[in-house]
Amino acid sequence: MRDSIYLAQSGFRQRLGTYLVMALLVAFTVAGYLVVDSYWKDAAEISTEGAEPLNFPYIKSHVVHAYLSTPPISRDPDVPSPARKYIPLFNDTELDRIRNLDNVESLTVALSEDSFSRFGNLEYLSIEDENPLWEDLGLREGRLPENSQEILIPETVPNASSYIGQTVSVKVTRATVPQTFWKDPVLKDDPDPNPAKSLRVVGVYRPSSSMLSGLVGWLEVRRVEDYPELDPKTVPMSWPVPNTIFLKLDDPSRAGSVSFAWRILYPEMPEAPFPMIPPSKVEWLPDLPERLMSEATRQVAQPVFTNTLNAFSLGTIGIFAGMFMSFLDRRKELGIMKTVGIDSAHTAVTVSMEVVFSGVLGTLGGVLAAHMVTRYYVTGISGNPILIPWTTLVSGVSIAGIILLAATYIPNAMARQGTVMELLYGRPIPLVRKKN
Amino acid sequence: MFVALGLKNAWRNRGKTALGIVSMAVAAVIFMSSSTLSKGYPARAYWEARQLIGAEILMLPEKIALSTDTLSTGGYTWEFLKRSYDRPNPVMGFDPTPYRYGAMRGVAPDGGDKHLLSMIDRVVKELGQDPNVSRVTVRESLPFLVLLQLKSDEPAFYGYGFIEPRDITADLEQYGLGDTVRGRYLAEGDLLKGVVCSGWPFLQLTGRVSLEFPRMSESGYDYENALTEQIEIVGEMSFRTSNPALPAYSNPVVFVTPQTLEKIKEATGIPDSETVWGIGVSVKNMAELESYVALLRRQYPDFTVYAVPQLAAAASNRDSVGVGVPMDMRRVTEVLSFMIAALLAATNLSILMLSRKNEIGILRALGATQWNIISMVLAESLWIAFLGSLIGGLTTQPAVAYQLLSNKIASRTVVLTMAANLGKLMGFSLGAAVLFGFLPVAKALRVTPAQVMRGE
Repeated sequence: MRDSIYLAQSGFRQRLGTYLVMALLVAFTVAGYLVVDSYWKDAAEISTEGAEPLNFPYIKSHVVHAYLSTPPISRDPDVPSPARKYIPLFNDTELDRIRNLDNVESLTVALSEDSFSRFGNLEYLSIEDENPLWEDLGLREGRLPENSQEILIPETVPNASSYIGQTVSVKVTRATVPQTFWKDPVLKDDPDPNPAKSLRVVGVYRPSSSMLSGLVGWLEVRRVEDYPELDPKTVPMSWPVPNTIFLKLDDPSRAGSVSFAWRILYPEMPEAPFPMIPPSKVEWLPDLPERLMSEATRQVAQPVFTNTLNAFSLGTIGIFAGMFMSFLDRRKELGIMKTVGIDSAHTAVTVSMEVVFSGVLGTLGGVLAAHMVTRYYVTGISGNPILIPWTTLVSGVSIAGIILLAATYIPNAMARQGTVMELLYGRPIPLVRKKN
Repeated sequence: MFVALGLKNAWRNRGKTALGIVSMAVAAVIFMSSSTLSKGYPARAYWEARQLIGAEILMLPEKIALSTDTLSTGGYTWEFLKRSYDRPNPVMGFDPTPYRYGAMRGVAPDGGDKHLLSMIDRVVKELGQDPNVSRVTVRESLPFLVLLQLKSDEPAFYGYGFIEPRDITADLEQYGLGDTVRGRYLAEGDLLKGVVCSGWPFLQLTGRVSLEFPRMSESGYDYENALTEQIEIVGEMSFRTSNPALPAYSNPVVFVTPQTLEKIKEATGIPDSETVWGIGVSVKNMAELESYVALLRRQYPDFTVYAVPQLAAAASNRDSVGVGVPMDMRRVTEVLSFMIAALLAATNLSILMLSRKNEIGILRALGATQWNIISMVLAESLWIAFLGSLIGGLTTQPAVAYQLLSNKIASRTVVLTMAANLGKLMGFSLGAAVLFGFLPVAKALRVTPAQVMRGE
């Protein structure tokens, strides 16, 4: 091994020009990646800091009222396959399954509609009686609704207190942007049979979040045990049909794991592409604003990453070409090494070691250059000098390592496979030699 | 003689020469598409979407898209909100997600919206002077509810929609809306008559319909004491294209004349500040649309500027309109593509030089100077670059010509633009060939007759 390293050092010195070019290519690509990635992580951080938190320790989820169940099929061919069928979501068994997910403190069932009243357009959220969400509403005045004819209004309504005791006329629309229009599964969409309502204001609450900021009413959910229908367009449910579930979380920072567990619980809803989770269609997680801002920043930066990828490709092509040329340039030397008794593996290692020298030199140079650039020349969008995160450093170095490994494959294989005569007389060398 | 020798060498090694030519041609195509084609579109591109919107660009006086400028300026607080149906606009048809599920909205430190009308007036005046703009209009809308019953055995329900006043002359003459209408389109001076847009579920309006418009109250729109107005639907527009793969553009909209809107606003007491939602801009030249949109985004950072093709593309992909405005990296892409192509050509040539080591040594022994060798190698390199860029340039020129000519650009301007493009292309590719040709040149110059004689 020591001999191989010595030979590689000598080879490196003799072809210093070629290897310096390779080292520079590695250095440029690594430095480019580190600077660009750090720059955009800084930007993402700034954008995330500007996001207003939801202040809502819940997962709010629009749900469909049924999911398609596929029972396991028996291996015995004589046992008939059980029928796939739609299972109603709003019964105690199903709701308990969701409620028992890890990190879920409580579950609330509700119906969300679009209301138009003297308060303009607001969400009209009817919550099932005795559900835990009532306790988190922040009632300021009056009392909670006790039947479906009563509502709370938010204190953001001008002179909200003056409406207590008054009856307001509320019109609800049939899915203003229809459910089947965009991404939602095709299930029967029953309109509210009573679209013009007279509701009595019984209290005023303080909205803690934009997730719960409209009119709040009372809902009596009917439990459905079974559906006879299989066609999703005709699966019915007697009104009121709830469409929203609130899951209060023990630890809101782990909302993603609850969402994932819920998805696994109901894997069979057809026509609900990701991220429309069966039977949960749309979710609002507690960190939604931060996620959306990160996503927006990623969209802004997308061309930068595309160009970085191009630069990596450029570097990779250069390194491949450099390695191949270096091999062609010195194949006679490799032939002589084999003539004097050095085995194929050691000859190939010599070639690889030279790349390792160039790669390590280039990577170190790239990291140093990136550090200098971020420290002295480039200021982040935040206005502060950019720090290169260690995750970026690890990924940058790893990618450079993978490229170098790939680049050495062909010269390495040729050095290993080539016979003395092939190497000395410039004959073609097969990458894979058939063994007799 | 040595230049001719270089060209002969290129011919003898046709495989490697072809590889170099193809890589340079690909670089040329990337250059042309990012420098010319990506600036805009042919004249009839996204036609149905533009007909529906009645403009090529929409400017919304609010921050609902994140750009590099927004990030660097900072100061905005971003909140997640479900958009209110009280403030509708036709973007709803292309991306209903913010209305149904919510989206982010940037709030300026001073709260914004305070001088909305004066801000819009200022921008409209400025854009009115812009030579790129053919028409600029302040856009308004007013929501309504309507009681509908699709089948006699089904319960009645409330449908939601909005009316939008249209520029009748522009709709008929510039956007040809008369051809898309079943029934008839609006005529100047039509009062309480409307044209509906087909395809929006739960809003099928025909004949004389009673629309309920909110009145203005201290707290905003009041739908409880709504004004019921009879509107006669005189036509129905369909934006279905002959290509079934394309989406049917639709909106819950009833087009009316400006007089109808004014009458309803007067009756309901709703001020301009509630109905105005943005600015519509029609451009003279679609071939420069994207460049112009990028300019407007920088010029008016308080607005969210949408090119209608951006909205149409999102609708086609059944996706939301991107919240982040991608950075413009076209220049970087151009340079990178040429560097990649030149590097490939240089690598090819270097390998060729190595394989021709003996011939170069013999030439040197026969008295060829270093300059002779340089001219031989560079001639080969330049020839590859020239052929590659010519092929790439010529391949893209029909598309460039079509884009420019379809926008009724003067023939002389089209010819000059194409000539300038080809000139730039040649300049870049030949420059890259000379620059990267020095690597094989250096290798060729290192070969000595003695080395060759010794068989090294």
